[in-house]
Amino acid sequence: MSTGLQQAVAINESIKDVRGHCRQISLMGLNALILAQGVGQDAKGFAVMANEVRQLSIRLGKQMDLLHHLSITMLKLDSITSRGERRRMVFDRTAQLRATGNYLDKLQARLQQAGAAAQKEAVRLRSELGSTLDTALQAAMYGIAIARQARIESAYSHSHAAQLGAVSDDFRREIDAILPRLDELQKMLEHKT
Amino acid sequence: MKKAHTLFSEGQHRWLAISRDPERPNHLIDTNEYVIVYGEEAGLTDPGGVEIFPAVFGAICEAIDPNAIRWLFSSHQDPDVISSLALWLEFNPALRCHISGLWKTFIPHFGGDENTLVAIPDEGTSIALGGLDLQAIPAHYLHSSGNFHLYDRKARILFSGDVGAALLPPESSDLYVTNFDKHIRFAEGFHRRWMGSNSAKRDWCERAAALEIDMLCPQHGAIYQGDDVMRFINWFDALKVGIV
Ligand SMILES: [Fe+2]
Ligand SMILES: [Fe+2]
Repeated sequence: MSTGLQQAVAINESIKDVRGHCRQISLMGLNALILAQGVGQDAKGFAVMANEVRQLSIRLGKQMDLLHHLSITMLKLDSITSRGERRRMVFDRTAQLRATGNYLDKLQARLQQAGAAAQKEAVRLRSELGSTLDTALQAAMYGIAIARQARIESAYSHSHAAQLGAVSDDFRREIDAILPRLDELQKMLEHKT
Repeated sequence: MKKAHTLFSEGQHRWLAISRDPERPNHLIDTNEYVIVYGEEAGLTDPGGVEIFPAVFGAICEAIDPNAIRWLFSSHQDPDVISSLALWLEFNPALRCHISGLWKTFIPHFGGDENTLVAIPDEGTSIALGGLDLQAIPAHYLHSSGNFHLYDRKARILFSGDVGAALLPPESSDLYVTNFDKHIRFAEGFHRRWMGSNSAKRDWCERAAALEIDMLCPQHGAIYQGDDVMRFINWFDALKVGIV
């Protein structure tokens, strides 16, 4: 079961990384908003986009919290399942001894049932993890669109175009850093059997 | 494979030893488990670790219906003593485990909860089995800080946990000590190193000497019977312990 543990560690590392970027994006959005307010009328469109960026970071952050929670639940389930598996193996070994007769029949049936129930729960959890991740991916894709739009809006801010353009590029870089992490997460979950 | 040997049998009252296992892998210390039967009920001392559970359970099944076991008696907290607790509880969740109150919140790391664990107070207590009363005899610091032995006044048998233990060579498979002087050489290093307190040892020797004991049954090694019991107590009394 150490692979299950290692995978849980890897999943959490990716989540931590994405959360870091989310915090970064949230700060960026706030800065961009202040910046746009300072520019005034010329940066009105940019201000709308900056606000979108902030909303996005909150949404993405929530998805990551949920993912974290689900992955911890998965880890708990994994450890209970592996403990159950170990016990089942010991009882299987015990039941092979002729002397034990049918003393262990009921117990073995109960453990089998518990194992099957845990497996079902794992399947359910995995699909919940998958759909949460999908939502996060969609949010990140939307982030690319916002970054693009912010870049366009920055051009309308005349003398501040270069400054606001740089802010949109920074934002785009953060989103670009998140996407491969989300991809990684998706792959890890696909391989989690 | 482990096998049950009858140590004592009188009507509905029996003591069985699940003695050393010749097939046990070398990386595990060999252990003795004892089953006390009285009428329809049974108790099991130091049931052992997870790894030897199949061997212990199998040997018990050959001798009695394992559903008769009402409680486990755990002399102390060691893994070779009680790490199989979760497996026993899986088999019978109603089982109770008697152990020093000191270990009551530690042992649930192996399994069980506050209902499973019955704390033995420092001064000892009596533990009922059918119509029989067994005594939990204090043996603190020998070697664990919360440590008990189990005495059956009627059968005149004392289960002595790690006290009396001998790390015998694999070829020796005698159930009983046959040559005390030869045997005790395999016990000396163990007692010097594991037993932590000379004054606690003194107390125990006095307590044990006052009991009527036909058999002194340790968790490791062979059983002392007859004159060898007092021979052991005297030898232990004279031994300086707590030495690395
Ligand atoms: Fe011990
Ligand atoms: Fe021991």
